[in-house]
Amino acid sequence: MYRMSLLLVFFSLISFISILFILLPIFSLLFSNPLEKLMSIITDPQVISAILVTLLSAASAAIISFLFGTPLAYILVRYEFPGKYIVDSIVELPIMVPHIVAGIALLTVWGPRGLLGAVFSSQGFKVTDTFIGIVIAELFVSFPLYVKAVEDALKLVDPTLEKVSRTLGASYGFTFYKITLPLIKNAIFTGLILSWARGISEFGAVIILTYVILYGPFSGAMPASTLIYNEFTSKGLSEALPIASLLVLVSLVLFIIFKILQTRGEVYGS
Amino acid sequence: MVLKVKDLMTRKGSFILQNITFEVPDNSYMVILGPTGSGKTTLLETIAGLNQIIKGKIFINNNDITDLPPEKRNISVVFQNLALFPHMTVYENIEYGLLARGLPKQVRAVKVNEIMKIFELESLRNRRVINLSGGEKQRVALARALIIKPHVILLDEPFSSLDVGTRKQFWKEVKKILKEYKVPVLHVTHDQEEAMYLGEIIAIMKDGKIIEQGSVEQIFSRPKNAFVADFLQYQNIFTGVAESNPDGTSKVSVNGTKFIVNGKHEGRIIIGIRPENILISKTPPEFSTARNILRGSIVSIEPAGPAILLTVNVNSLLIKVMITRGSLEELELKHNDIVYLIIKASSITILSE
Repeated sequence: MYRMSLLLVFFSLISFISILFILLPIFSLLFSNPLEKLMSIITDPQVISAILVTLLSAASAAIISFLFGTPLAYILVRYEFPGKYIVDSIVELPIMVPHIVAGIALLTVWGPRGLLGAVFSSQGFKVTDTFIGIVIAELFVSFPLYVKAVEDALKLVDPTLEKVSRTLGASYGFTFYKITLPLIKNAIFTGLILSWARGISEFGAVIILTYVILYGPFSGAMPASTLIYNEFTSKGLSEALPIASLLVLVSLVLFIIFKILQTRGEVYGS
Repeated sequence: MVLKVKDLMTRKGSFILQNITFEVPDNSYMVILGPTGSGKTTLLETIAGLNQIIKGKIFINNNDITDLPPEKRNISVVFQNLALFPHMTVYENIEYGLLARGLPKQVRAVKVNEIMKIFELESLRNRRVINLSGGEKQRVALARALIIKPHVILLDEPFSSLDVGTRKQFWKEVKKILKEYKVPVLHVTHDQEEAMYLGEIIAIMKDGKIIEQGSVEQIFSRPKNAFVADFLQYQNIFTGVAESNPDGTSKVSVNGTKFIVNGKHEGRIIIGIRPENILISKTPPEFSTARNILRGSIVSIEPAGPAILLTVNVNSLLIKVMITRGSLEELELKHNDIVYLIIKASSITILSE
C-alpha cells in the first residue's frame, strides 16, 4: 500500500513536470505581450486574413481527411487483402517525413512543372501559391492522424453489429450510415480536431507550396505561421510575438469549445 | 418455409467447411451440435449470406438463394453476443429491420408495439440496450429477429450468456414463441442438454463436416459414429473383434472381455455403452435376462453432478458406470469391491469410425 502511494506521488510529479513543459512556453508567449500591442494587431487586416486563411485551410484539409480517410480506415480495418500492411504503412508515411521534405515532394507533384501541377497549369488552374496549395500541404501532414484515429475506433466496433444489420435487411450503405458511423462519431470528431490542429501548426510543407497567396481567393494573404516567421526574420521577436499569441489564443478557444462539445457526446463500447 | 442446404462448401481463413447437406422442414427446430471450433458459426454465417460460398446451394422453399446478398435473403440471425445496437434504445433496436425495409413510421410503430407486448418489453421501450439484464437483452434480440417475419431464423448459441436457471426457463419460452411464429429454426450449440430440449432434428458437426444427423431419439440413443458417441458422453467406447452367433447376435472380444451385441457382425468393430445403461450388483444376478454379466472390481468412485461415476476394472478393461447417490449408499460400495455389471445386448451400440 505504502509502495503504491509512493509510486503514485512519483507519477504525479512526472505528470506535473510534463504538463509544465507544455504550458510554460504557451503562457510565456501569451503573457510577454503588452495588451495594447495585442489589441492593435487584432484590427490589422494582414493578421486577420492570415489567421482566417490558416483556420479555413486547416478546416478544409480536415474535411477532406474525413471524406477520404473514413472509407480508407474502414477498408483497412474490416478487410484482409494482400499488401494491407504496406498500405497501412504508406498512410503513416507523412508522419515520418520531415515537413520541408514533404513540401518539396508535394512540389514535384503539384508544382507548375510537377506530375499533376503541369496538367492543371495547362488548363489555367494553379495549385502552388494559392489557398489550395496550403490545403494540400496541410492535408498531406494531417491525413494520417485522422485515419489512425478512425481506424482505432473501428477496431472497437464489433463487426457482428454490421452483420446483424445486413441480415435484418439493411444494405451496406444503410448499415454504415446507421450502425458504423454513429458508433465511431466520437473518433471522427477527435480525428477532425487532430487533423485540423495539425493543419494549423504546419509550416514546413506550407512554406514550400504557398509562401504568399498570389492567385485566387485570399490573394495577398499569408498563412499565419508564414507571417509569424516573416515578421520574426524581417522585424524581430517583438513584431512576431503578438501575432503568434493571437494564433495561440484563437486556436486554444476553438479547441476548448470542440473538447467540450466532444465530451458531451456519448462513447459506446462494443 | 423449408431451408435446404446442399453440398455446401465454404472457407474462413484456413478453416474449410464442406459436404454440408441438410434440410430444416417447415415449422421445425433443428439443432446443430458440435464442439467449439467445429464450424457451427461459419455455417450459420454462410447460410445468412455473410460468407462467400465455394460450392453448393442454399434453397428456401426450392428458391435458390445462394447468390443473394444477406439483406435479400430474409434470414434472421441471433448471434452468441446478441449484437444489440448499443447506441439505440430497445424500441429502435426492434424497429431496425422495418426501418431498413423502408416501412412507414406508423406501420413500424404498430408492429413494434405488437411484438414488444409478446416479449413483455413495453416497460423497457426507451431504455438503452446497454442497461438491460441478460434475459432482457435476449428477448430484444429475438424480437428484433422475428419482427421482419423471416423465412428462417438462425440461432448461434444465443443462451450461452445466461445462468443455468434462466437458460432453462428461456428454452421453454423461446420454443413456445418460435412455434407460434411457425418459422423454421436452425440453432447451433455445444450444449447437449439444450440440443436435447429444443431440437426435433439434430446434426452433429466436427471439423467443418456434419458427421451424423437424425431425430433427437436416434442421435442420443443410437448414435452411429464413434465421435458422436464420445461427444455425447458415452464414455465406454471400445474397439474389439466380432464373431457372429447363430442366434442373430455377435460376440465382441475387447482385450479378452466378451460382450454380446445384437446383430450379425464380423471382424473389427467399435462398441459404445452409456454409463447409465449399466446396472451394478454386489452378487451375481440370478434372474437377469441381460446377455452380458461382467465381474470386476471398483477402481474409482467420483461424483458426477447429482450422480456417481464408478470405474470398474473388468479383465483390465476400465468400464464407467453411472449410479445414483442413493444406490451408492444402499449398496455400500467401496474401492476394490467386487461387483457384477449387467448390460443388455440392446444397450450396446455399434459405432462407425
